[in-house]
Amino acid sequence: LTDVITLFFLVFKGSLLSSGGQGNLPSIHQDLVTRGWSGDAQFVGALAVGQLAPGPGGLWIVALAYLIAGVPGAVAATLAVVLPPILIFPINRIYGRFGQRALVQGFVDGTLLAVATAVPLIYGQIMDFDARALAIAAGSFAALASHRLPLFVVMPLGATAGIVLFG
Amino acid sequence: VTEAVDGPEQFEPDGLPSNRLVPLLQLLSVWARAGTLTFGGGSSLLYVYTSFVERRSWISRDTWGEYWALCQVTPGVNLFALAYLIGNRLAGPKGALGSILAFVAPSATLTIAIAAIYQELVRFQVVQSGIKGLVAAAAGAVWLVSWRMGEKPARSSRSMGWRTTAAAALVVVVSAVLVLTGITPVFAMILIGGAVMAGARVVTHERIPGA
Repeated sequence: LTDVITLFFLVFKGSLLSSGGQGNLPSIHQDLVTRGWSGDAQFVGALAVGQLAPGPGGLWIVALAYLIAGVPGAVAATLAVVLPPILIFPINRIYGRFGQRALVQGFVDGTLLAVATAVPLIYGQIMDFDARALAIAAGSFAALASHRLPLFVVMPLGATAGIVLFG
Repeated sequence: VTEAVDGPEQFEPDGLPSNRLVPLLQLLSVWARAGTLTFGGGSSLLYVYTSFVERRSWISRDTWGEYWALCQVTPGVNLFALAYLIGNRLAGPKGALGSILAFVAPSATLTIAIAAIYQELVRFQVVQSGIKGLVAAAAGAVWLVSWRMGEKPARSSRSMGWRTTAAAALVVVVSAVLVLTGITPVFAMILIGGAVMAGARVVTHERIPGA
């Protein structure tokens, strides 16, 4: 039980200080790997399950928590990602009053820059990219950036390419 | 359809009532469908936008823009923040709670089910290869999302002069070093980034007369 509570707080902490569905990845990766609770292969699996499951992108952590600690872990992780966005209510009030201040704008910019730098690097760490993985990632990036293909087409194509290239 | 109104109707510039309430069940069914019939944040967002703004006119374009901007500065998943805000706007506190539950509970349950299937099938080589390809493709999507996340603050920093530009470059480099070496906790890295840019903005702000 203490492990499930710790898991809740680690996910909560990661989500509280980041934005977007995978912004919490660097923090959670650091905390779980240093504790020896999870390895890179499990992260890869959880991120894949997160892509396969319907709904918003942020539920990959529910899959990871399930793989680590079963259904109780998954429930704890769900709560931990659902709670931080409640802060939108106080932020709504505060932002209306102070949102234009340089201090607030600067702080938000800095956190976004840090998260935007860290997330792709963590992906690189857990994937240990070889030429084949890099080719798939580059193809996916190009297809999505040019709006040629939607995400729900790119993902199965990536999986198929993986089966062909990795055997 | 009976629509309760919270006090006298107030109207926004584009003519939609800004305090109209909607039936709770209809609200929840939109969120439940957004959580189960879409894949990935982008398509969920599009579904929610189409449902609330275009098909039903429950939320005006202006309000949507304002809400989405707020979600960008809120911690965690942007769409969860949006569910709280839209739910509260359209049906009060029970609408906020109901929206997040209707959105997350079905998709979290399906996520657990798929994770259980993954756990059974991961011993097969072909599944492992497919998963690797899938996550590599996801990495491509993440590069794009991260690029877009970083683009806006990078641009606004550049427009503020060399001090904020240098500070932004410093934040990117320092964040990269900190996350790769792991010498500080990630939350400290994020706070350092915020503090550096806040400092740079304040300094620049004070030195530009009339800014």
